[in-house]
Amino acid sequence: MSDATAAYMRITNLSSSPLRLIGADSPVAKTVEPMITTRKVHDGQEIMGMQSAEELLIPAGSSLELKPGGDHLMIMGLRVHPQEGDLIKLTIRFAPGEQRFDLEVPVRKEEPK
Amino acid sequence: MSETISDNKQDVGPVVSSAGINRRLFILAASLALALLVGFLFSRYSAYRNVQESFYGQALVPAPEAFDFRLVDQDGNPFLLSQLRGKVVLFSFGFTHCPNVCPTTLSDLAKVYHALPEQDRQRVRVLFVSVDPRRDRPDVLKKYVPYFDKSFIGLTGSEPQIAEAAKAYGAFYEIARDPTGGPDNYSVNHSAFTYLITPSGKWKLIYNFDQLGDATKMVQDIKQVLGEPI
Repeated sequence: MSDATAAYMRITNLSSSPLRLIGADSPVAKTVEPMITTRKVHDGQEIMGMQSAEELLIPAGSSLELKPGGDHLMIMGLRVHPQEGDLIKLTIRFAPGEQRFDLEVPVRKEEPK
Repeated sequence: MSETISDNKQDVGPVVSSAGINRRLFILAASLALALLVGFLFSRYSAYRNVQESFYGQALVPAPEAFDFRLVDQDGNPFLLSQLRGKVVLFSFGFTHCPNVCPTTLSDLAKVYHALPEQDRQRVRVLFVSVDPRRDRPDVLKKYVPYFDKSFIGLTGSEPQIAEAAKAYGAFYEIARDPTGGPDNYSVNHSAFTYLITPSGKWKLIYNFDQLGDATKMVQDIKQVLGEPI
């Protein structure tokens, strides 16, 4: 099994000022980093890649969609190999300030329909 | 159609000396020939349109012979694509440290595979070809690829073997190194297509990453390819 995986979610900023997702932590992994998926064209075909992002912006009143094949939280250096149905603790950090948001995300093999 | 012509010839045989009948016979034969030609062209055109329109994936017309890559499977055994002659093969290039695109591809393909009826699944194989042979040794692939479905096969090989396979299918990949990272800390940018090989070893269809999510349409393509005469 790979020692890396990704977390997906939709985060809605209900406040009236912009929020920036600046990082995340999980007890099951060494690091969790916001990543953006890049698509560039090389010789007429699309090449997908990813880049570590300093922050992901969530404008006031709108949502950030982290989804398979798109932007995501990359979970690296897994200490355990979670099984389908397990819940993983994730703490997401936002700026400005030291805002932290704790959540438990279910492990899935396939994207829910 | 040809029977009609010979029947007519027999019927009008005794009066063939009449110029008027001869002329009518000629017109009849000419119109029959024209009808046959139009019918033939129309059937070719329909077949052409079929190829163009009835596949969800992008069709290669005419489908070329699939390059018979020689790689190493997740058990460390030599593996030739042609070993799977008689089956529909779906494969993509990727790497196991890929957290997003590759697992999404494999999980989409697992969904497609599970949506097929049991008897069709026996004639379909899914392969995952690593473009990161440095880290993706057979034992690494063995723990990763069958996770999505136990029938899925991970393949690796030497760098030239992988480069040859990728080139044959027009796939692209490049190591993307983080300057602050260690020697094993890198990502691989790659094209994310899935290729469909027919049971007779023809490279027939290409899917882009975003198409894989529609399992119903993927299943329709696979069933259609399985139903074609080998």
